[in-house]
Amino acid sequence: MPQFPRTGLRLLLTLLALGAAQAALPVKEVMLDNGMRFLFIEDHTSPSFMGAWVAHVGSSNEIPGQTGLTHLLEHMMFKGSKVIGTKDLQKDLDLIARQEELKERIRQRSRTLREQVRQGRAASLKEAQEADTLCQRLEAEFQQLVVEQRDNMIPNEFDQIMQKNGELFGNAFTSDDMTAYFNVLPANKLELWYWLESDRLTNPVFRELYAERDVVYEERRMRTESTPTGMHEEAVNSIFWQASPYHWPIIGWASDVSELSMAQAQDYYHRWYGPGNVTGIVVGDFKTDEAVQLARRYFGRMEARQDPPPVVTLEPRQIGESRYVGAADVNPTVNFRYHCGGFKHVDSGALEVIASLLNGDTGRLQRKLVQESKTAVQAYAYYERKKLEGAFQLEAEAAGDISNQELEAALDAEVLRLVTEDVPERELQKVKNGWLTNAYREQQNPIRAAFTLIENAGMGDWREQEAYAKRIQDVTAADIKRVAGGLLKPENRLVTWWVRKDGAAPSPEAAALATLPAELQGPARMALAQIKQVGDPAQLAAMRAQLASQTPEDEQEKAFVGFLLQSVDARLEALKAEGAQK
Amino acid sequence: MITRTLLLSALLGARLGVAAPTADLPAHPDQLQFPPLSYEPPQAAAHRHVLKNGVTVFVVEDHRVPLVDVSITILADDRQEPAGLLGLHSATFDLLSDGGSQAHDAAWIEEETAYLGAYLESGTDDPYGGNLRLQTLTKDLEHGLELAFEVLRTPRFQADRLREWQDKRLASFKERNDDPERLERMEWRRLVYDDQTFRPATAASVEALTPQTLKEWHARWTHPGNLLVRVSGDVTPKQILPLLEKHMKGWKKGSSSFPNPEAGYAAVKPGVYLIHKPINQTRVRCILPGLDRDDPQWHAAWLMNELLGGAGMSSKLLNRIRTQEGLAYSVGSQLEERTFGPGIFWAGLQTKVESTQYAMSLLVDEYRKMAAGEIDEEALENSKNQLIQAFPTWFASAATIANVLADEELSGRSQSNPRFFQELRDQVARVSKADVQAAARRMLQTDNLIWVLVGDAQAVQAPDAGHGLSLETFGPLTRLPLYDPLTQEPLPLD
Repeated sequence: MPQFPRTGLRLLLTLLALGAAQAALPVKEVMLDNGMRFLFIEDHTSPSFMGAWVAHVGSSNEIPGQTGLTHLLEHMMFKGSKVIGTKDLQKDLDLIARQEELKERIRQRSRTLREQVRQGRAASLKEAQEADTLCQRLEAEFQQLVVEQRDNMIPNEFDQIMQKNGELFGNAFTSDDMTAYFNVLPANKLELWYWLESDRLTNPVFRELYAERDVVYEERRMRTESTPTGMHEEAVNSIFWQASPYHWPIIGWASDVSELSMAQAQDYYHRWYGPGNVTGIVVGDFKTDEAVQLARRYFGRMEARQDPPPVVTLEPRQIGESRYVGAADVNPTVNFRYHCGGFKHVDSGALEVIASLLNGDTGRLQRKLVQESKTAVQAYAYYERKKLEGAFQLEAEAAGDISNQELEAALDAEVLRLVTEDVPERELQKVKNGWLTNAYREQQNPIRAAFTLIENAGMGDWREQEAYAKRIQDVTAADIKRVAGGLLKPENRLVTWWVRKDGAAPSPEAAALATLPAELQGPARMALAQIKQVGDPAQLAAMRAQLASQTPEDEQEKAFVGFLLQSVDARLEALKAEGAQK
Repeated sequence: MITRTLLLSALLGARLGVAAPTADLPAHPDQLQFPPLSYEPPQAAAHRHVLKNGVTVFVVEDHRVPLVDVSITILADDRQEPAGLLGLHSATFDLLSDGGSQAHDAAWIEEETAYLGAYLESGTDDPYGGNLRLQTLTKDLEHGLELAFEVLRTPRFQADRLREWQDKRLASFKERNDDPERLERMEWRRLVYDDQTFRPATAASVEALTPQTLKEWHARWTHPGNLLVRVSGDVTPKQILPLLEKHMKGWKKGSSSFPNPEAGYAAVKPGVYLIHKPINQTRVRCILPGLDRDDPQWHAAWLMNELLGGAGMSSKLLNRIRTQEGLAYSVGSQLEERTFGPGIFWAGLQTKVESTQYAMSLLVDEYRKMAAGEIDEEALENSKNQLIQAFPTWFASAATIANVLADEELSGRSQSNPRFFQELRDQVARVSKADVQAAARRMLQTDNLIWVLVGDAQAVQAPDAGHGLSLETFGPLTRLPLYDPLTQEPLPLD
């Protein structure tokens, strides 16, 4: 590998660093009187803009028994307001109140039914409810009111107004830390965005909550229950986070989701969707002065609310390694997940750099595990930078006949290198250069820039995106050793082994390979791959003769040659069988 | 300390005590007045250049940040892969960037581009064949182009990198039947396309690939008669064109040319095709033939799809199956727009096993209503307005403009219909309710539905007595086998 001359290198670094200074997002920040923060980036590339708002509330703000509420609230925010979605508001509110009375009676009844489930007298609450005549009668009455309400509603009116005004991209998401809503509209529809979004944020009406709860349950079936690893991942997550509210799934535990109520949703909205807990973000083709005026005019009407309570729980230090074995329809895979610092943590830059050293075409996992030892077909590292805590993951999918044990050892070897060896200067700089050009890519794409602001504002400080970029550039080789040494320890991690559920027996080749000493398995596997490519029996016979003429110097060599002979013979047999078939 | 507390309470007071301004806001968004927005789509002539060897280059400038994107399309037809070497096309174009060049080994090139913070990748996600993409800081453009043309013209296809690609592919094959979504995607294609269009690679066909076969496939397609270049970002034609000329120098045109790769349809008979997977939700897909994008009824069909299931929450299927009945999270439809030949029209949803048949019946009901002319005028106007007003987003960035212009050129539409984009909004605006109904009557023939279901075969076959339905209501039922993920031979039904 050619080395850059020292001066050339320094010049290049200066150029790149200069670029980084210019690549900061040109954000204008405005605080409304009611405490709502707005961020603006003007960009006239295309005659459109992205409008977004992020509520600083995620599933980690929920309480036991009501998990999944943040996400259900996200769905409810599309159901209209006092103006949008209804033909007659008073009638609508009356119907909702009557529906709630019935639901409350069903909930009262369900307390008894839930005891039946706990005592093993019914398989599930749903089954018990379906067998219960009172529940069924109340449910039938409730359904009548649903049908009655439907006639009074303008279904999906919010989306229809967005649609007819040229919206194409609108959606929302809920994470552990935040809930965000976003739309892309033509540049001349700026005021429409302010109207609709301030309206639903100020005066939402939660219609069809229980049908929507069923929708969420289907989402849960799709994302978690019907995927090969979804249920296992939910378990792994709750094992990893012991006390932190990251412990429960964003979509909620199944038995909580089915019991979420209107009162809970309204209470949650009032607590968490106050203007002081929401950040508005507008990026694209507009004049900032005008956008600020509109923000004051529309979002300024919201009453300030009391600050919501912060999460107090700190994840306790893990004191012993945890292990999980997930038997599923997947290829064998090993995952390490370590506890570490999250958003704004002093070591977050070092953790991001460690992930980058390991990742990508030139990353250590690709070079060492995939290309040199051939223990993995793919491998990656991932730093999860969450608001309250962080997690650092390493994952590798086993190559061919490699066992999870061997794979784990290979991953451990890479962890050890981080802890014991200094990262070479050029390798460190390579990773930092990648982050510098990444900053330009972010600036090039207004939508990407908007999502960066959503993410950082949602975790509590939009300015962290810039501080983080700087923190990454400041990381030294010593930082990496220190941070890796302090965190990447067995007692600080959860190891997950994914194994194939039907556990196919290893092939005869794999069994033979396993008998070789560990250091010979790599070369043997390569030789085997070469032998398998030979299609000419004469060539194989020649190889065989050459191998047979070897006089091995020790037991190891003898085993190695023996393995190759066996492989050549197997290949000859296979060719013969193929010939017979034709 | 005192000062801080005071300050804090003053701040809190300000925030809590503020009265909401009694703004005289419009009572409903329909009362808002919007300034006009006029937009003309970019013209190919302003960006199109032709090199001395005949290669077309589109250059779209954007000098906001010092980045340049160069993307080279290599026209190649994967349907011509030899039967024993399926996977050859993707191996060749994946390994263009990852397999080294005559001058440098793969690792050296990767380290070099990574150090520059650049990106040099290749693949087959281009409908016209292979693609090589360079993204680099402006100051490194010359160096980046040297590396790009090195791998494009003289790829090495290192044996170790091919082996790595094969291993990764084989591992991925093993998971072919694992995820219900992937399984569904694979199996509906098997049912609908002919043997030239749906040709899954097998472990044996991937194992049979050698560096030599890749070199031959590369040589067959990669020559100046088969290339198109897109450039976008911080560069002018004056800067980039001489560089491209330099790198193309002395490169002779080959004889291969690119046939129109029209997808071959050989759809099975209408009916219900059921694939067993023991899960608590059924994946349902309903397939009908689509339209050629040059078909006179294309715009009407496009709007029909928007009204039915293409426009998210505003569409009929979503409103009925998701919003009203709570039966599914994801419901939608798509009119496939293929560059060459007709695509398909499909609708899909995922619902719990018990509600599968009912959800299917609601879908059929919405098809019938649309064909019978139950089309809401206001909804149609909304859809038309959406497509017309969102039109500029097709050209949102320099890179997308270059892509769109290149696509028009490669598909031949820039020749056959050069005013396509200029007229698109007017054509959408002209579609009437009667046009949509006519398209619906032509396309939504409910006797011709091909249903593909992935789910618990036994449970999903239980009749839905409450709604008077059974799976046979939707056509003759066929249980489909799973296919061995490595050999693609059918496995016995259990």
